[in-house]
Amino acid sequence: MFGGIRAAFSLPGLVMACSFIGFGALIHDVGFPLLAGVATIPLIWALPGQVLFVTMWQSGVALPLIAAAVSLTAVRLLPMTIGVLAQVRLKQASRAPEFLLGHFTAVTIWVLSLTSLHDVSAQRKLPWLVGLGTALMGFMMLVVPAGYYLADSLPPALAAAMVFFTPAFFLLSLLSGAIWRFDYAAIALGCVLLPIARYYAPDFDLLIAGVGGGTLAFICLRPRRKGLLK
Amino acid sequence: MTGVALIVAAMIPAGFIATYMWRALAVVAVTRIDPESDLLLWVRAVSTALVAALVMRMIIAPSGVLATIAVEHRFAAAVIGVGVFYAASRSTQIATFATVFALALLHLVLG
Repeated sequence: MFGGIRAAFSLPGLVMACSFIGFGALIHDVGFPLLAGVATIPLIWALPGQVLFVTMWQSGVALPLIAAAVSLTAVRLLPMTIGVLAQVRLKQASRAPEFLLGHFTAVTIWVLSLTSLHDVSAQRKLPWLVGLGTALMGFMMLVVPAGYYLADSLPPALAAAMVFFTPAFFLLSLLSGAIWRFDYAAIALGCVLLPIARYYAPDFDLLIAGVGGGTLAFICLRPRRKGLLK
Repeated sequence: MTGVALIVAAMIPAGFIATYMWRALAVVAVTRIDPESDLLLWVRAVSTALVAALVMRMIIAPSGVLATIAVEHRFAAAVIGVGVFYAASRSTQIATFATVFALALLHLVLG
């Protein structure tokens, strides 16, 4: 568990912290209350969903639409959680800690589970990741207020650069997680369809670009080569 | 404070449940579900496109302080970041810092 806590302060943890500093600057920027912004960390714990919730809430989008968009970005956590659990679960062990680990699973934990678990014994893998998740969550809850107040005191150009950490991290995480050609197609189509959807239906732009672009990518380039996620 | 309480109350269904349901489903189904079934691959594509669209929206139509930076600089910084990602053997860390650095530099040098 303590090994996992230490790993929270590794390079992936620091990049995550910069993205959350950016998130703190973003909530300051759109006028979202700081405490509610901090609450998105333990409640949602997936930055794309947090950014969506905050920006859609601030533009007055109806709650069911917010829930749909947040939920659609979170679907990627399902294969990710299965991937993390497959590495750490023991057949005879109780299931309850797995539900806790599931809550902590997001892109940084997934990356660290692939790179840092080799030296951890089988029984210690799950506690190691729970320690990592707890430390990262606490760390980010401190970092967001820092970003919020920094955005207030920094010159606008620097504050803007800080906000940009978040989309930069999203885009590069998508590229680094891409395995099949349809992953790349989905990234490209999501980018291309967004301005078009925004022009015709500003309230539904993300849902149209996401569902439309993803479906198109899947239909055109459905992968035949399998066994890459295990 | 009531404003915060209202937002947090709205966040429980539209944030927490909307997100945690997929994690819980993964824990329940880990022994039975195939992460490479067609349904889950489609879901992966939609989820990927949605996050890409979110990135694009923050580039072309940002709210607030990002809007003080020219749209072509936001675009260029993202392209540079992707270039650095491949040049630096797919390092998310290096490329993320490079993207932000490029944005600040473009803005300061070219205004």
